[in-house]
Amino acid sequence: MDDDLLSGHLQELRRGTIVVACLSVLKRPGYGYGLLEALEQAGFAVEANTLYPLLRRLEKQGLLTSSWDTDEARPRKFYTTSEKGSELLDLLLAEWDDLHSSIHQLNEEGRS
Amino acid sequence: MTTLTDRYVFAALKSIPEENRDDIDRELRGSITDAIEARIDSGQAPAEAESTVLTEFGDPRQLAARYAEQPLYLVGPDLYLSWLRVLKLLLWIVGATSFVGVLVIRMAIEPQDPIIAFSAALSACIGALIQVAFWVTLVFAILQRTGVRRSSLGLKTWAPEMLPPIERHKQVSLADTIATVILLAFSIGLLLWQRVGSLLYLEGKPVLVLQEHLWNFWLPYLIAVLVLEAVFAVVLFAVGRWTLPLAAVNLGVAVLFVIPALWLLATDQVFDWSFLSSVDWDVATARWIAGITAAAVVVLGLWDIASGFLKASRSDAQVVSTR
Repeated sequence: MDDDLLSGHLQELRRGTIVVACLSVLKRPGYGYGLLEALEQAGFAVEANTLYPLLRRLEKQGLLTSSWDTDEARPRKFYTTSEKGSELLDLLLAEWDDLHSSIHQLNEEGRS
Repeated sequence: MTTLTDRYVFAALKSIPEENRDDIDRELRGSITDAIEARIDSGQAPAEAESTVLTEFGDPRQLAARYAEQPLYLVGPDLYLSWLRVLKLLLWIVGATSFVGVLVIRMAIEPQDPIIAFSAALSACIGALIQVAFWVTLVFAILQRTGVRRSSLGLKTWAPEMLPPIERHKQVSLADTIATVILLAFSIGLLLWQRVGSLLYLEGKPVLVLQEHLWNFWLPYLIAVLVLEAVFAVVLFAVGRWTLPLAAVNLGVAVLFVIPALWLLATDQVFDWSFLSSVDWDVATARWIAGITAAAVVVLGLWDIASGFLKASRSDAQVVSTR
């Protein structure tokens, strides 16, 4: 498989899932770099320059709340999924499940 | 001492709204430092780690654009098609009118210099096209940047009724159009060439075929009409088929040419007969030449007009039959 071709389509496929992943991970409060690492370990390679602006956008949309933790040596901005964010996440996950079963059904039909 | 990170954050914050800067500054600096420290912990040298992390972050202006949610393009997909349509339309209209307008005005002011008039018209046309392209794009870029969308401009959303009719056989081919335009340009060139030289030479001297005084008005006029014919050919190609209004315009342009040409021929104002004396022809021959020319003008003119209407009626019938 052509690497560029594959990575292009994978990127397209994952684009919308980053929001789902962020809202899921941030049910427990997390800060920027920590989230970046968590996503990377889970197989969502997001670039820092995409993720950080995205977090602020989600916060502006009321899907995340944030607070500064100044107890540590370095102050960090912690984001948490808000109630509205949880609601949206549930809707997105339901859609995700629908898509999953639809796609598999389509493939089953294609096979038979 | 300023570090690379300081410079990076400074560059990124420059185009971010004032009220968000402090917050983004702290957060961004923290995230960058986190990433650098992670690399140092895994054994990379500090300077190298900083450079690698900042490289991964990419151009700070791009980062700033993402924070500010400003697009990094001039005209986005929402406005692109409107931009293209407006641009094309204005390029045609302004290009054609500036060319014809300048040509006619220059010839009216300085009839003795058609070549200069022609080149002035050409450069005016090119200048106008560049202006149109610039201003139209600027306006659309501003609309894009200020968040104006098609819907807020009151532009219609696309609907199936907007589909153009199918043309079974495209009536107006590109090759025909190009041939017509080249032929017209060649004719204009021939007329202009009369100013500086001649097609005919007798004993090494250029012979005037057309009367000198025609340059005062009629030749510039006829050249302008020829230019109009070329513009018409291009418009016809853009439309793709003959319609009754187009046939009517074609009639109008043909009349603009035929009537003055016939009148000039009838009043013996076209040919400079002085060359006839040198080849020992008489007045009867001159009448013959004028007569044949007049007949050709009439036949070609009528044929042009008639074929326009004929094609228009045929294309109407075809459009109806495809519905």
